[in-house]
Amino acid sequence: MNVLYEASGTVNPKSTQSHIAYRFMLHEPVQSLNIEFSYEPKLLEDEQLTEQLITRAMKQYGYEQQRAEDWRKYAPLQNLLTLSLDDPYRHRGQAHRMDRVQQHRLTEHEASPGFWPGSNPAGLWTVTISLHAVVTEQCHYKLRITEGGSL
Amino acid sequence: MLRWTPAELHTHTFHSDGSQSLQELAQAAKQAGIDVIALTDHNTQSGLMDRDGIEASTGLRIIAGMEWTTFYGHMVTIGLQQYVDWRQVGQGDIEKGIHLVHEAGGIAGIAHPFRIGSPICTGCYWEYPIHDWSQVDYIEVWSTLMPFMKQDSQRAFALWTELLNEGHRLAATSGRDWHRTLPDDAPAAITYIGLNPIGEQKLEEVEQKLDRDQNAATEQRMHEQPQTNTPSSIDPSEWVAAHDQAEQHASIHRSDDHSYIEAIRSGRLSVTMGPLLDLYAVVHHYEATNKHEVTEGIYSHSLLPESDHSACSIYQIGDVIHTGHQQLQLHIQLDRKIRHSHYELPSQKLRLVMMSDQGILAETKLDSEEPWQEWIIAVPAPTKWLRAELYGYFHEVCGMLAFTNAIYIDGMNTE
Repeated sequence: MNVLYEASGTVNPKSTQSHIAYRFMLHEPVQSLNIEFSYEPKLLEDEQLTEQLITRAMKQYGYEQQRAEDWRKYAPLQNLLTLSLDDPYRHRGQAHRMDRVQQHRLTEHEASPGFWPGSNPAGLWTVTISLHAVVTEQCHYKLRITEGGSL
Repeated sequence: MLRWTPAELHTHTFHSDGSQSLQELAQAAKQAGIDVIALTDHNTQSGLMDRDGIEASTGLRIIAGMEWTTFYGHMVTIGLQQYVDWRQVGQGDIEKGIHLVHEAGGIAGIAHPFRIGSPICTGCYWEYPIHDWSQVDYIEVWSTLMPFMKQDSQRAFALWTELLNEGHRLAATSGRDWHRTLPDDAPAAITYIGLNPIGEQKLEEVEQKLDRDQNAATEQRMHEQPQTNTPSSIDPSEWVAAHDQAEQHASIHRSDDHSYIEAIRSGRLSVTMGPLLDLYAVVHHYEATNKHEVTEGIYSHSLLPESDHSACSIYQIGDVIHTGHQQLQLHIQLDRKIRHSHYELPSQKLRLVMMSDQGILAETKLDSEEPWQEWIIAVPAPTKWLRAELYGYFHEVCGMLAFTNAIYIDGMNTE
């Protein structure tokens, strides 16, 4: 399996509600484009911080706590990073789902759920990581784009 | 009169975070007595790839959509002819995004505006400022299962009423936000879309002709292409990419969904947990005939009086009445026959309310056993909007069981 592009990074709650775009050059068209994307941790384990964040959100959004333990129904809090893809000519889709580890494959006739199949032309591609929620002190993500073969 | 089609306008598959295929969703929708859905996966439209075959095998109509699942609000977009990029819109310029949705032939509705937001449910609470409400096509005022009893839906319904009172004209829908189907699911609401049988049919015919013409023109251009471009001037990868783009576009685009989109945009909608509420207004032209009298009363189907509409105008849900006349006659109909095998309504006296910007104008009791009833009342001036609401007992909860969208009134005399 030929690795075409790799990137990784660390984000924290200050990066929440932002996009990170990676633009990489595909020098030749490829039959099969594979994307491996993962991040960790998924869950916020700190119970005190969880209570604090949920209680603040409940107040902010007009959800009154009837009982002291009401915040627990919204626990645990989790990070949510989603990945979208644009080839040099068109938008190829997005995987908006909760999974911490994701593998996607795009070929001319098939694509993983969320993505459109089609040719994978040479040119400048963009992978966008959308940070819908970063609640842990740090969140590490890894991105790897490979060509051909099966995942 | 309007032809009412049961619809579900907020659905997901495993192309985003749903746990069902489009085929499974379509089968479950048909089993629930639904004829139309909008597929509104989070930030993708790739689920539409299988649309044609699934429509053919299930008989369900599937409208292209996408839920903009942004950091500051979720916005259901439907009827789009192409992908519109949600990632380019910041918190200050959602109206720019709505404009792009409109340019792509779609409409935009605010989804579950009061659901708890980030970081619990990311972007679920609507936090975009709206400067011009005329840009927003609708608000999803009822969300998820048994919505009428839920506080976030009640807040959304109150926001809609407040906007109507301020003079804005916008539609209201229900949305199941359908991610999975379980055997013990509580009941969901239905949004009935009112199609105008004659007008919409003509519109569809025109659209289909336009589509045929457009396809013929595209084909002609494709044939002409090699003559106008020498092979050496065409970048093959561009050509292939253009072909893929056209295929993707064809999966999303379909002009004959337009009649549904137009009906939703116009607010020709009635939302319910079960029985269908219909509403129409009759403006009598007294000067012309001077012989009609406003009647009040409740009629079952067999007692319905024969009406002479030759000297009156009829306005349906979503219409604007431009009138200098002092009196309107309102007809509210409750249909217990339609989709009756798909919900259970205990035997009871239902409360039917005529609501307006002036508050409750009138109310009456209806028998839940009657398959079809009509209530006719006179509307006192002045009024800006009117809608019907039905209250009762449903699945062990008392509350609002159905509401129509509004009929609007311009220039009603106060004297």
